[in-house]
Amino acid sequence: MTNAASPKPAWQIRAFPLFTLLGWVLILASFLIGLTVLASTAASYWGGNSKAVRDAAEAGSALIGQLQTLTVTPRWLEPLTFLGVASFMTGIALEFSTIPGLLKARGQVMSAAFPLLVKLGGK
Amino acid sequence: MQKLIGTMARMYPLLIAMGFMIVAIAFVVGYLNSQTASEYFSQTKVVRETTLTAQRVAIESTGLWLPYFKFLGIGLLLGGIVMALRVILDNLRAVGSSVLEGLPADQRPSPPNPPWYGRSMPVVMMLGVVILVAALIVSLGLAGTARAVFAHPVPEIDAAGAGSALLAQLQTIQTSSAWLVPFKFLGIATEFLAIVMGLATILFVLGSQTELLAKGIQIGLAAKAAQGRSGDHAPARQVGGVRA
Repeated sequence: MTNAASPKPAWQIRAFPLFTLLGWVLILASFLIGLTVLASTAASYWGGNSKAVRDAAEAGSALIGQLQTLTVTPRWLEPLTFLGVASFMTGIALEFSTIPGLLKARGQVMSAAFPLLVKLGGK
Repeated sequence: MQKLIGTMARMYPLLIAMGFMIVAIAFVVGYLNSQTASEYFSQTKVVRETTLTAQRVAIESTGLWLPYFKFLGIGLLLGGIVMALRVILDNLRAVGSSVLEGLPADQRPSPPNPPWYGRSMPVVMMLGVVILVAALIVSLGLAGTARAVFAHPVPEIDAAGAGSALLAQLQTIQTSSAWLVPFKFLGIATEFLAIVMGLATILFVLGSQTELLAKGIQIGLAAKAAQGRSGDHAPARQVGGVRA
């Protein structure tokens, strides 16, 4: 008997949406942090303070706190954004990795069917 | 609408060529900017900050718009990939339909409708390009502001007091850059999302076509067996896991 049963769905099929979602969440979060935290802090820091005032800010002051936010946040926010991009790419790689399995299943169906077609066609 | 998108998708090499050209132009502009920076930083601090304002303007303003221009190029390249996926999908569906045409019309299984993510993939791709174009437009505006700010000598910029136009312009540059950087990544993420949707549709079509192929072969075999049953009783066979 010739048999080419449907293969089980590959684990990658279940995993790639998670990576896509993770990538989307990370990049959206970094955009929202930029929009809400960094942009408003930058507006306060640069808005009403001359360079002399900014330079004279003392430890523990609000201005130093803002400067700290503006210099510290991008140092982890950019790697976080790239983690999101990497997550998207991992999802895409997982999708690609399922294609050979699908093509193999198609090949199995065809290799199971062709001998029968040839046999029947010869009659 | 889908037909129009399908026709436009065939022009994907144009998108890829445009994207590549933009990135190449960005490299040339970046190189020229580096030469200006080299000239600028070969001078003493006093000379740099008081007399070389034209070079400072070029360096600062180019640094503001060039990354967004580059990202637009990358976005167009990714858009080209999305459109190429669409062409693959259209061809897969066309081949699938022509294979099924060999079966009797009353027994022919209908090809599955493309999933929602397959239909909305070009729209998501366009949204990504729109985000990147918007980011470039805002960055060009910021570059214009930077040209106005850095046309002044640095000591004058440093002396700008609260409420002055110069400080307000500096505030605009810093505030906008804070959200614009992640915004361009949002555009790239949207392009990636379109690619993920396109690939997921290809996986769906490949899987469902394999099932249809097995079904179609069973139907064909059954029809052939029925024809020859008068003289020769063909034994039942199994294809695709289902007894024919």
